[in-house]
Amino acid sequence: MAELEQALVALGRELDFPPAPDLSAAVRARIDRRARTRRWLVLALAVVVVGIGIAMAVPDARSAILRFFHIGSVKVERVDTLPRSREAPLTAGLGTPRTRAEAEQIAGFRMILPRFKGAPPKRYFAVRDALIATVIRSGSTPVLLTELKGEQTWLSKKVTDPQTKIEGVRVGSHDGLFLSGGRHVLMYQVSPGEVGHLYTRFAGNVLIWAAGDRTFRLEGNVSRNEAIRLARLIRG
Amino acid sequence: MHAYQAIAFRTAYLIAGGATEAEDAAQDGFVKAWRALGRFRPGAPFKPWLLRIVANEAHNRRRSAGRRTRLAVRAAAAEPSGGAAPSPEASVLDAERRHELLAAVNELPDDQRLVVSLRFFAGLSEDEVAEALGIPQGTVKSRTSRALERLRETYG
Repeated sequence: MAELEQALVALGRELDFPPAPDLSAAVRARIDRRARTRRWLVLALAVVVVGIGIAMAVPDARSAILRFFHIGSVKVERVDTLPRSREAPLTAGLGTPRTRAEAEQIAGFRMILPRFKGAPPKRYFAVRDALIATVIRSGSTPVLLTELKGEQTWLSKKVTDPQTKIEGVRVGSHDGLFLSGGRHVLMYQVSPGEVGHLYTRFAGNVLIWAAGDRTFRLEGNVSRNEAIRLARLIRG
Repeated sequence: MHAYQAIAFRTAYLIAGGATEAEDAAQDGFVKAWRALGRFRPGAPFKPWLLRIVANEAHNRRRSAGRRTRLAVRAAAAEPSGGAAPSPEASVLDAERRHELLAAVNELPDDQRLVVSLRFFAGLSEDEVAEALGIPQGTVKSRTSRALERLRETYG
């Protein structure tokens, strides 16, 4: 090898590359739906790593993404600075309220509802061919139930600040994440690619889990155990 | 996966130009590769195939971010090592010339800089660079040759 090539190889060994992150936890969480127990352990480890990362990391850039997770169609990003956002009703940004039949026609799939003791909800919301939502009740507390079909990770994103607690949970035989405390922001993207099309609002406590080709999301002022209880009433 | 994540991340970083974009690209690349395993030709080398997927993801992110990697030398490597004996590499390349050479690499046209970075900094073979970038091996050779010619003007 000529001297210049040798010099380039030597230079490559001394370049300031960022350390390669351990991608295995996040990748496995996305692909290994069959090995659920194993994935659960990886996910739990990833959350621990996030905790350590938050304590240790002092990113140069504001809003640096400290870590992210994918659960089905939802992406959860841990950042040091939240995007600008505002308080808004649970259904803000979801469009016109519709009947269940209308919403299912827009969404292109049938919504899986929890088993209700009383009457089912009357108002439903749908986004394009991918998302359907409605408000259910936990006692008198409203809880937004959202269902997404397929793996359209551009559609819904949650961004959390370092104070938000992210816990791995089990919903029946499925893995999920419960986000609570701190400030976190829900972002709906109504067309792929363009950041300008994001709808952004502050979100309450959130449980996210994936089952089959669906991603479920429960949001409201409810505890982790109550969210999991509600989730277990939903049978895909 | 552990065997390839460092090279996948480094390749993505050289293309995308930022650690966050590189991590996203590498992660999405691994997931897409997993899903496309059925289309992987048995007996073909796995690393170039994977890097092609990761590189595509990195290109997409670079286009949207509109940035270009500015490589830098590690702080420790930039300083003289005191009384320690110089490494073989250090004897090839002292600090001043290292900076000059890196500046020259950073000034190369994009296509040449990328080939040189992947070939010499990420340690990919010509075949692997060609596969990762989706270009013929002859193009890798010619871009490398043109880049080295420019760099020789600086490095002497």
